[in-house]
Amino acid sequence: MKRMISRMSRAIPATIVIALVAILVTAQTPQPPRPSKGLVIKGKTPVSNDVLKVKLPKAYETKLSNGLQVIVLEQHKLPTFAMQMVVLSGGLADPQDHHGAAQFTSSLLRDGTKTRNSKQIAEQVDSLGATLGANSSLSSPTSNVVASGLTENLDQIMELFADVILNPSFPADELNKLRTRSLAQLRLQRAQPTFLANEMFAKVMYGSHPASRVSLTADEIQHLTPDVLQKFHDTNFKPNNAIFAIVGDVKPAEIVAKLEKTFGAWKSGDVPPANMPEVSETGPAKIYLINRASSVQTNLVLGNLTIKRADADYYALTVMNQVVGGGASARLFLNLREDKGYTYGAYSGLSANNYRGTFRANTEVRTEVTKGSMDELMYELKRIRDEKVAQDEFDRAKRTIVGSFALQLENPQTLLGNIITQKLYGLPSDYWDTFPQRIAAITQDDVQRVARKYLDLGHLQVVAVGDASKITDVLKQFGTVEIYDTEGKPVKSASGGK
Amino acid sequence: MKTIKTTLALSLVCLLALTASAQQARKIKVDFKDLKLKNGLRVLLVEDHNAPVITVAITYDVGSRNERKSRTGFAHLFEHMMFTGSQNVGKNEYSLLIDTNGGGNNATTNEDRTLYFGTVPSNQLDMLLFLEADRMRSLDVTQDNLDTQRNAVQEERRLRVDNQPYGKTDEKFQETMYDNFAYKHSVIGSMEDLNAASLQDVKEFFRIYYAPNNAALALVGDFKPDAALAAIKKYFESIPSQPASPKVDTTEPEQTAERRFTLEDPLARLPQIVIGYKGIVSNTPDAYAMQVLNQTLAGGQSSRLYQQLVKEKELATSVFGFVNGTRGVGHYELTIAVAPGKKTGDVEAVVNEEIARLQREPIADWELAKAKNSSRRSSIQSLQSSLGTAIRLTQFAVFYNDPNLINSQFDKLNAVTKEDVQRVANKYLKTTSRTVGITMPQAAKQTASAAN
Repeated sequence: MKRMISRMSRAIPATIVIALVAILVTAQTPQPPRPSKGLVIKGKTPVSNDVLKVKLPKAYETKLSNGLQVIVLEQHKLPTFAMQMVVLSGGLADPQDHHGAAQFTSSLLRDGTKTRNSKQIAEQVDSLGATLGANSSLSSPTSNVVASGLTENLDQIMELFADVILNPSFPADELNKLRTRSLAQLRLQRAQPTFLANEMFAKVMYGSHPASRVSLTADEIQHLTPDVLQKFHDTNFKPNNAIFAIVGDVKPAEIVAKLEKTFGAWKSGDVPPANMPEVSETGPAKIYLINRASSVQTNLVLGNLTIKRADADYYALTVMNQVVGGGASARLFLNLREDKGYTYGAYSGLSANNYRGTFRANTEVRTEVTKGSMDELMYELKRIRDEKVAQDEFDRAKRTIVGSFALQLENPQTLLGNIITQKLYGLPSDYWDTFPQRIAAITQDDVQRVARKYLDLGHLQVVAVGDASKITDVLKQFGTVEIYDTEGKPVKSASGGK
Repeated sequence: MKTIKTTLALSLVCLLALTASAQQARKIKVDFKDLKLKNGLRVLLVEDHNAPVITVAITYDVGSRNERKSRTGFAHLFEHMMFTGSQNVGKNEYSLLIDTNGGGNNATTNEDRTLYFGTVPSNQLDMLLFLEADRMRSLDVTQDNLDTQRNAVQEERRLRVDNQPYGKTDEKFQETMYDNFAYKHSVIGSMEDLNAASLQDVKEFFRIYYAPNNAALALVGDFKPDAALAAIKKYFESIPSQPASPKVDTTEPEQTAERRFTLEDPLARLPQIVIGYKGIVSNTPDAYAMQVLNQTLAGGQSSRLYQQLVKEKELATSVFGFVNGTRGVGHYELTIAVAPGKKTGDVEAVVNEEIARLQREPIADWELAKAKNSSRRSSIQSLQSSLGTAIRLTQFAVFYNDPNLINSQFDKLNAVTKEDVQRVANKYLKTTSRTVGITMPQAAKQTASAAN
């Protein structure tokens, strides 16, 4: 339904996804409620103190003789399937002089193979009621080709899926059309305040690292030729550089047989490693204001660099994030929305990759309360550093994380995603088995330690998108302000630049 | 529907065809129980032990169409109030308990209904039922909470409408297309009307619309039927029913001439066209034929408009079409993003030409197969989660008094013929029943006003 509106902007996904036998956080007897206008606990609701024991299905894993890793997760509730080919080279493997090679390679896969043109592929996919798509981004470690449909059509869909992966032809006329659409997209996205905020945040977090690039430039788009894409494909799309994963109403033996038939002749080969520089520290704390003249809200994003995905602090940061802004029961939401009425939503998020990720808090507030909102955001960032989280709040946060296992059983694609995550980031094979215990072992001191370590207020980067004529002076109260226009260019002004 | 106490049979049945081979079509049927409590609350139960999870969804028969003039946006504002506490549940304790126990919840309002849902691990069934029943029975409202939620909703409006490119187009489109107030105004409402909402309004609205006899509840998932039904009765059956809520007049005068507007949008960078054809009544054979028509015209990259506008002529960068099936008089809607430097008139000419073709000649066999296959797949896929099943059951019960649509809806679409598509193209896609809204970028005075 297009016009439906909701209480919250998103069903908040747990930052983490877990697999396997869970448990371990014991339920606490409710503590006396903390006085708060945003939250009142009466404690009269019947609640089961048990955290449900969850037993998740093990995936079948194997490897074809050409090196293709295969993961099959059976799920027979519905006669459907979803599959993906995760090629372990994405935008991070772009050639230095051809940013966007991975993104455009993926975008053009459906637009022509040796035996099918773009329109034929579209008609065949749609006629089956199937989906087939491919994507990569400038900062992605992978390129993903995904397909789904009814199991009765598995053979035909698998054939199309294999054709676009193995035999793309990158037709010049289709590339021209994609360029034209992409150039239009560059203009459209600059109208979106969230895009502007995310683009600037990535830039200030990552400097010259490839992860700083959120969007191609018009110039970069013009530099992408069929040869560049063909070369990116031929270099990186190798079976020994890919993971095939499928979930649904399928049997491992049958899938392996089909894969041998469709992908068996795919030749392995050496793939050069992606250029992965270390992420440098950000500069000192600063405020980057993007002037969007007609804005009636200020979009605020505040954050710091954190850790790589495999870092041991991931667990403590996950709990910290849950406390600060992991949903509608976390501090940011209860404070900025439910107590102050400044916003429709306020959340935090933790990202972690094979390069250092970020912790960020974000909200969108009406222009007039920009100052009040900054005060509260700063208050919450300081508070998680300065005060140990209260026992009851702390227990609830851990219970939220561990308890969310059960719901994942309804979403087999999430389970499959966990397995892929474990492989992508080189996590131990029992990673998800032990995840609940690891979360349960985190202490309040751990949370305070990582808060102090990573929420370094001396290096806190703040991005604001809004009407600079109304909020420049407000933001100056919080630090040095640099002003940019919506094209990302610095703005010089007589009174605003200091 | 009937009131029964018999044991509930096993439910999400997968019927394997007798000659089943590995890749033969499997029929999926949702086996649900449909009963009514003494107070009129309709209860739908589906047992499904595939995951240790349960969902409770409640659809109340109230949406923005029930609002009175000068109180636009109220149904949705009220939805927010349902989280601010009841007799035994504190403000935001509802979400806190669900989150803390590994669940998820939300609520949503549209023209036709207000829907609340929670999904939790199956050992928390009592908790979820208690929480839902307590707020149906005894919502506790205060001026302070009303003011806070009014602020949150006004920020939601700014976020989705006032601060977004093309954000005001939808609202203007709805106001232009419809004559009957029920569907003529936006769900989010105006700032003025939101400001006018009073505590008394909240209390009245609760009494009239949040009665058990004005709602349908679905419980889907991993539960023991006897115990679950007993718990539902324990928590809900003593909530008093209310006189039937006032009927909504959904009649819409016949449109006799095309309607047009142009909106200058300072946030937009490129033109956008929205085209709507009014008159379609949902869940009728015509509406299903219109869905097939939409798949042909605008569904996916193989669709006629995508191929013509985006690929061949490069006049547009995207095309989106859908049949807006409200409980009143619905419409068919196309939204097209115009490519840089291209004329909206040229885009419209292509749309008109493709519509004329649909009126002139039958669609191709593969286009009919496409619409049916994608519909079948999405109707099956929607049963993946207990939430999807629960939502559909309650809405079908409230909208059409036919929860079994969850099983029969695809068959209705599957009955559509090529002739039906040609017939509805001629019947509904007429210039005289059309509304066209064009949004043009307004030159920004960006740098001039920067930081002074």
